[in-house]
Amino acid sequence: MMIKEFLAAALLAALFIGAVANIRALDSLRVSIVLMIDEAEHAAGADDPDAAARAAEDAARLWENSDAYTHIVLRHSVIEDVSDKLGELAKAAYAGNSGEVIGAAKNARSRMESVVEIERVKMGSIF
Amino acid sequence: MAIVIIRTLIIYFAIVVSMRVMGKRQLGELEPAELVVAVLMSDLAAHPLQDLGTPLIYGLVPVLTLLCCEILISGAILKVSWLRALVCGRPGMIIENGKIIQREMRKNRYTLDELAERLRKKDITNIGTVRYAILETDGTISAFLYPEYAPITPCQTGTDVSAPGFPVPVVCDGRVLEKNLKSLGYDRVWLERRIAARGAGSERDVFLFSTDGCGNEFFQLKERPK
Repeated sequence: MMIKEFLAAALLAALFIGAVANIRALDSLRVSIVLMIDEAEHAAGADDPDAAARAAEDAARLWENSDAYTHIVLRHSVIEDVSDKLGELAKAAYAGNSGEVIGAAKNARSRMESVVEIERVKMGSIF
Repeated sequence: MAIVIIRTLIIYFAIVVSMRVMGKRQLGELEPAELVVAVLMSDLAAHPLQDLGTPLIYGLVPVLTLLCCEILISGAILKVSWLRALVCGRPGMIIENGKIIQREMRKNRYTLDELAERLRKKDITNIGTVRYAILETDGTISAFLYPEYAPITPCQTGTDVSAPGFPVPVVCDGRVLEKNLKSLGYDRVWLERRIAARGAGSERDVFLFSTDGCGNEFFQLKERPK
C-alpha cells in the first residue's frame, strides 16, 4: 500500500546514514593526515629534515590519493586549498627551515580540522 | 552532507509554513507543499550546474531530500486528515447565502477586486447571483449560483440526452495507436475499412483519426508537402 512512502523513508534514512559515513570517512582521513603533519613538525623540531620532508610528502600524497572521494563530497576550492597548505608544508620541510615547517604545519593542521568541522552537525554549521 | 540534508529540511518546512501563513491567495493551483518543492527544486538543481567547483552531490542530495519530504508528507496527509488541514489548509467560505464573509476575506488576504476577477473568470459578472463561493486550498474559487441564475440542466427540463463516448485517437500522424484501438474493441481490419471509406490509402496518409466508439469520428488526412 505505502510502498512509495516506505521507499522515501528508506531513502531519507540512507541519505542520513551516508552523511554520517561521510563525516566518519573524512574524520579518519583527517586523523591520518594530521598524524603525518605532527610527525613532520616533530622531525623538523628534532633537526631531522629528511624525516620531516618524508612525513610532509606522505601527508600530501595521502590527500592526493583520496582525490576520487574528496571530489565527490567536498567543494573543489576546499580540496585545492588543503593541497596548497600541504604543498607549503612539504616545501618548508625540503628547505630544512624548522621555523617555517612549524608555521606551515600549523596552517595545514587547522585547514584539515576545518574540512571536517564544517561537515559536523552543529548549530553553527546548520545556520 | 548531513548539513545539506538538515538545511534542506529546515528550508522546506520553513517555506511550507510561510506559504500556509501567507494564505491561499498566493498559490496558483498547487498545494503549498507542492509549490515549495517546485520552487526549491529548480534552484537547487541549477546551483551545481552553474558552479563547476561545487560537487554534483550538493545538488542531488537536497533534491532527493525534497523528493522524500514530498512523498512522505503527501502520503501522510492521505491518511491523517488533521495533517492535511495543517499542511494544505481548509477551504474557506468567502460567500455564504449571498453574504460576503469579510472575516474569511481578511484571513486569506483576499480583496474584493480579486474576488470579482475570479468570479468573472467563471463568467459571473454579478456578485449578487452567487449563493456560495468557496476559496479552495489550491487558491481557486468554486462558485455556486442561486437556482434562479444557475444554467438549466437537461435533468431539470426532463430532456432526454444521449451520453457521447470519450473520443480516443486511434491513428496519430500516420501511426496506429494499437492500445487505444484495442480499448475500443476494434481491430486492424475495422481500421483499414474506415480509412478506405474516408478515401485514404493507408494509415500513413492519416494525420489524425479519433473515435468515441459510438460512431462519432474525427478524420483528417496528412497535408502533402508542397
